[in-house]
This record gives sequence, C-alpha cells and structure tokens, in this order.
Amino acid sequence: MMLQIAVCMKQVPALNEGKMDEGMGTLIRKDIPPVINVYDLTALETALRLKEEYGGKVTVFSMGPESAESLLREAFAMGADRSVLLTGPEFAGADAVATAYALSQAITARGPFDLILCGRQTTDGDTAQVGGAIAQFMEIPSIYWVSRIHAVTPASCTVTALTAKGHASCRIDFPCLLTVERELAVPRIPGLGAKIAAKKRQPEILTLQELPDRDSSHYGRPGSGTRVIKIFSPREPAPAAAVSMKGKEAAAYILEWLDEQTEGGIR
Amino acid sequence: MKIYQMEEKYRQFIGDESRLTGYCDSLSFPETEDEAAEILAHMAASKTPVTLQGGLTGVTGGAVPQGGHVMNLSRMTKVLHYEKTKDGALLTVEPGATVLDLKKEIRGLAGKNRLFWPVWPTAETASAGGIAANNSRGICSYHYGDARANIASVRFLAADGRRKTVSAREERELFGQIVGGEGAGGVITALELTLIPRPESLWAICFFLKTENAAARFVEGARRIAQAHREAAAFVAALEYLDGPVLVLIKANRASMAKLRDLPELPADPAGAVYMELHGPEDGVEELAGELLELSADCGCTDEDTWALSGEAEAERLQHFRGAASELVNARIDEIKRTDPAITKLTADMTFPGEPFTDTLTRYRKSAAIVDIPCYIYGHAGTGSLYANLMPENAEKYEAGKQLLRSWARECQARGGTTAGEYGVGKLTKNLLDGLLPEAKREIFETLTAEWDPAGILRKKLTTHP
Ligand SMILES: Cc1cc2nc3c(=O)[nH]c(=O)nc-3n(C[C@H](O)[C@H](O)[C@H](O)COP(=O)(O)OP(=O)(O)OC[C@H]3O[C@@H](n4cnc5c(N)ncnc54)[C@H](O)[C@@H]3O)c2cc1C
Repeated sequence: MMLQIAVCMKQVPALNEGKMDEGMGTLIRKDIPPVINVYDLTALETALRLKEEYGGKVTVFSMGPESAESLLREAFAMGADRSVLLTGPEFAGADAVATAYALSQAITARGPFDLILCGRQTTDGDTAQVGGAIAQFMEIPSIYWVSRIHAVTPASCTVTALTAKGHASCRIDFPCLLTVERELAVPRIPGLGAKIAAKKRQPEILTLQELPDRDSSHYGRPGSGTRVIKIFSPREPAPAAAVSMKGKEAAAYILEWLDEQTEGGIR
Repeated sequence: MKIYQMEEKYRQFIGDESRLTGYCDSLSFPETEDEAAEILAHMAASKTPVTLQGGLTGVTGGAVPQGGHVMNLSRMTKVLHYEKTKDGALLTVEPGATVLDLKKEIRGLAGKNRLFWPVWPTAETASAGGIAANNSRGICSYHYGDARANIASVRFLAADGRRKTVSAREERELFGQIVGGEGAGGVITALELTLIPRPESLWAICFFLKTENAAARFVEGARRIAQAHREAAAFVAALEYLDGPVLVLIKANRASMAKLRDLPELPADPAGAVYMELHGPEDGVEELAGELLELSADCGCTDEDTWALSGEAEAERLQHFRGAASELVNARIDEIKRTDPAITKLTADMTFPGEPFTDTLTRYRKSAAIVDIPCYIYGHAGTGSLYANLMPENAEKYEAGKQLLRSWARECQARGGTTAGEYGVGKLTKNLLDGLLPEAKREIFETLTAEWDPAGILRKKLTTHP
C-alpha cells in the first residue's frame, strides 16, 4: 500500500505567553512567539505512524508568512517527506472559510491524496471549522474528532470519533479528511541528527499563481465573510420536547414554530 | 496587625517539601512591609522565635516552625517597579510572588524586549523571597549563575526593625549574606531582579545513554565542549544529569503526570540521560549541536537516543522532563514514609571541586550499593552539583543511609567541597549533617544574627546542639 497523506499544520501564538482581550474574547498576538499548533502535531504524528505501518508519503501543508518555514523544517525533522508553504500577500487576513478554501486549492494543486489529516482545531482561532470546510470544498467525506484509527485498507479506514454524547466507530472511504484529537497519538520528538539535517532542507513555496483558482478575491481578507465581534462558547440549547406528526399536520406545525421563532417573519 | 492562633485549618503551614512537620503557636500573613515590621516588633518584644515562609517548596525544612510564630509572606505579591536599563531591565517585586506569577508578569512587561530572568527553580510555586533566601538556581545556572548573580538589590527588614535596601554592587558582603542567608537576621521584603535579553535561539536536547559509563563519558565530553564555548556567542546554558533509576520513575509516571503527558515513550532502558540547553544565535547553536551530536555518537547514541526541540515554548516539553525528577523523587519518599513516618529524605546536595563527573557518580552509586539502599541521582552535571537521593525502605536502612550521607560529607569536606548547596541547610540537613556543614554558612548565620537580630527571634544555627 502507498498511502498519500496530506497534513495541514499552522503556527499559532504560544498560548501560555498570551493575554486575552477580555472584550473580544480573542488573543492579543502582539509580541508572542509562534509555536506549532499542538493538535496539528498529533495530525502529523498520526500520518507518520500510518506511513510507517502501511507505507506511503507524508506531505505537510501550511498557509502563512515565510517565517512559517521553521514549522515545516520541524515537520521534516519529525519525518515528513515533503512540505509546502502556501504564502503571499493575497492570503493575509483569511477567516476559517477562506483559509480552508486556500488549503483545499493547495492540496488539489499538489494532489491527489488518499487521506487529509488536520488537528481538531487551532489554539488561536479555536473555530474547529477549517478541516470540515476543506473537505466541503474538495467534495470529499470527513470525520471530526477522531480518537483512534483501527484499520486501513487501500480504499478506506475505520476510525473511532468522539461525538457530543460518546464515541462512534465508522468506516470512511478514501479520499477523505479526518480531524484528530490529541489523545490519538503523542507527537514524537525529533532526534538531534534529524533536526540538524532538516535545517538544510527547503520547503516548497506555493503561490496564488500556481493554484487552480487564481482569482485573488476568493482568498485572504476579500474572501472572508467573518467579522469577529466577540468569541464565546455557545450555550447548550435547552432540550426540546419531541413531537410526532405526519404530512400536512407536521408541515403546519413546523411553519407555525418557525413563525414563532422569527416573530412572524416566515409568513 | 493580624495574628492568628494556630488551629487545624493552618496545618499546611507547619510543613514543607522536606516532608518534615513542625508546630507553632501563632501565624501571620502580612500584606505590606509595615505590617511585617509591626509583627516582628511584637515578636521581638516577647522574644518569640519567628519562622519565615514563602512558597513552602523548600526541601530542607527551613520554613518548618519549631514552636513560636510563623510569618508567611505569600500575600506580599505586588510588582513594585519596572525600569528599562541599557542591556535589559530591573523588576522590583515583593517576596511572595511565585515563579508562575512572575514568569507571566515578566512576559507581559518585558515581552516586546524579549527579556527573561534565568534563575527560576523547577518548583513553580516557589516564591521570589524563598529563592533569594536560599540563593536558588535554575537548570540554566551553568551559564547564568545563581540568584545572587541575578538580583541587583534586596530590601531587608531586620528583626530589630531597621529597614535597608542592600545593593549587590555597593554592599557586596552584606548582600551575599542576606541572599542565601535562609531568612537569618531579617525578612526580604522586596527584590530587584535583573532581567536580561532572551537568547535569539534556544535548543533543548536530551541524550539517552545506554550505560552509566557512557553517560559519564558523555558528560565529561560535553563539559569540555561547553568550556570551549563558554565565551562564545552560542553557549551551553544547561548541562543536567538524570540517572537510570530516575528515568525508571519518569517512565512509570509518564501517563499519569500532567507535565509528562506530552512526552513520547523514552528510548528503551537508558542508564542515564543528559539534558542540555544551547542558547545564542541560530547558526552558532546549530554548530554547537553538531559537536554534541558527534560526541553522542562516540558514546554509543543513535539518533533515536536523542530528542531535540527548539524555541522557548517547544523546549518546555523537555524542561518538564528534567523538572519531573525532583517531584517524582519526592513522591517516592512519600510512599516510603507511609510505611515508616520516621524516615526522612536523605539527599546529598554536595559539590566535590575539580572532581571528574565519573568519580562523583561512581562514589554515590558504589557506596549506596554496598549498603543496599536505592539511590536516585540527578542535578547540575555541568558544575558537578548532583543530588544523590537515598531511599531507605525501613528503619535499619535509614540509619545506614544517614551514616552513608555523613561519610560522603566527610569526604566532601576533606576535598574542600561544599556539603550543603542550593537546597540550604534548613532543619533537615542541619540534623543529618550536624558538625559537617560549611563554616561559611555558620559565619553568615552568626553575623546576620549578631548585627540585625539582638533578640535572636530569627536565629539560625548550624547545629542541633544548644
Ligand atoms: C519539585 C521541586 C523542585 C525544586 N527545584 C529546585 C531548583 O531547580 N533549584 C533550586 O535551587 N531549588 C529547587 N527546589 C527547592 C526550593 O524550591 C527552593 O529552595 C526555593 O527557593 C524555595 O522557595 P520557597 O518560596 O518555597 O521557600 P520556603 O520553602 O517557603 O522557604 C525556604 C527558606 O527561605 C526562607 N524565606 C522564605 N521567604 C523569605 C523571605 N521573604 N525573607 C527571608 N527568608 C525567607 C525560609 O525561612 C526558609 O528558610 C525545588 C523544590 C521542589 C519541591
């Protein structure tokens, strides 16, 4: 088996160094040294273990400034075969959706891949949306919060994922995307020789001109619809009573319910 | 002035990490220097002995009361002043601020200028006052030195009520007595920490060696390399040792200890590990790392036997690995104490000047084996200041362990070494090594008491004899 695995990784501000903007709920990034998003290290470790067990190649993708090259060298030191830095002014200021779109384009440009691995979320944005959105843009299936990978065949893998209420095991066909939980694997620490050797390797640079979609308005700030007003954890909705109806009666009930929620806006 | 009578709810204030437990009649938690002064005056008037406390992480029982009054300084936590200097900054803090608080504060205040204080001990709840009183050192003391070398001045509230700011530069002798004086003579009510620029690049590396002999050879070689680069732009900041038994403890607790959960499996059965930190410009650090890589290969390490991380945040993973040694050794003593509460820590915190690392290690290992007591060794390999922790499992072995500790101390003295280093003498070491403790320490205790504490309320003695 020769699995082609893509891993998405990002540099984030070292959390323990940052202070929060209490009003916005966002991290004040100024002067905070960057580190590799911890969840992404698990994604890379997972990819390397799959490669070691089943054979294949691991390519790491990161979108960011040139300083993100240090992340990609760390990925080389851990054992990645290739690394690609998607960089350029067009990508600056991207929200979760624009980031996912750019990464999906980069992965398509360097693909095909059987498996795309992402960390469950980044520790700076915490939206946990990028993985799923990449899968959506690439029109491939995805599973979130994977905590175990059981079996891999040339065509699929079987995984256990966390759900809001417990665990679920399922098989998913390649190509697919998984976002991984930290409990899946403790990331290895590179050996000193590997680290020194990785310093001499250069990541591939990918720019807008090499992507299938070269329209800069789809990327970065122009491609981002999100405006952050405040970040907070949503409250769990109160459990609703279940009702059982059929046909027109059900339709009328739903319409009335929607109407109530929107204060008459539906009709 | 608030003074509380001792009751059960204050139990936590009669013991520290030495696992000794004492007793006291009353306690106070002053929030200002004035309040501390008032309480000291009150105690001096009645000649009530006072025990000072910071974060209670001391391992020799210096903060454990034996009657009298406990003055706990953990509520004096304010940052008083921050001032930029030509090559860094000065940060004045009250003594109760902990390592954890101050690390955060310094990042906030000096983040843009990328400054740091290189002394932090691995115990994160230790207080600034305790660190100064014990003249503690961090794992990077090999390059940056101890607390004395990194504090510009201390504010001293003497037991007789006088107050004085003592500068390291202008009153060297007195400063050297107060910092490291273990609370004799008076209270440190503020400290001016010298912040210095963070290194441009930081690599943390662990080398796992297959035999203790190879580990000792590696340390000797690493010392030579470190010495050769001492004045260079890129240098060895930390050179620390963890022996096989300590690594077994780490392995066994990797999954259950929060700090260690981010570490992968250790290489199979290492007999010793060396933790090093390299600081300086990236190119220089890489070159230095290359030399160490060659040395490690000569000592039988493959690349799988090394771990290397760069960057401050990433390096923390390996710093936790080194830091876990003290916590796990302490936890092991707790286990033993559960079977026999009379057993205490038996730690040699000694330095044998000029002695090859191999000889120090062999002395500890062989003599502990002769009396058949497990011995856990870790510490500052760069300067030869190792901690050898004997773990006697019953009363008989405990007696044999005490004798062994004293025989090491005698040998240390005969070689002109220091029998009590960074952990201080406290009460535990004072008991265990009565008559074998450094003369210089006795002088410090006596001078501070004679000059600043006529009522003798903070008197420290180097002997258990009256
Ligand atoms: C897990 C662990 C790791 C450790 N690692 C290190 C290490 O890396 N390096 C190291 O050097 N030590 C280390 N230690 C030992 C200990 O943390 C240090 O000695 C520390 O400096 C003690 O600080 P504290 O605030 O806890 O002091 P305490 O234990 O409260 O007191 C220690 C002594 O200082 C005196 N004192 C406290 N505050 C004042 C004050 N304001 N004025 C005058 N005297 C005062 C007390 O009377 C006592 O004699 C470690 C201990 C543990 C448990």
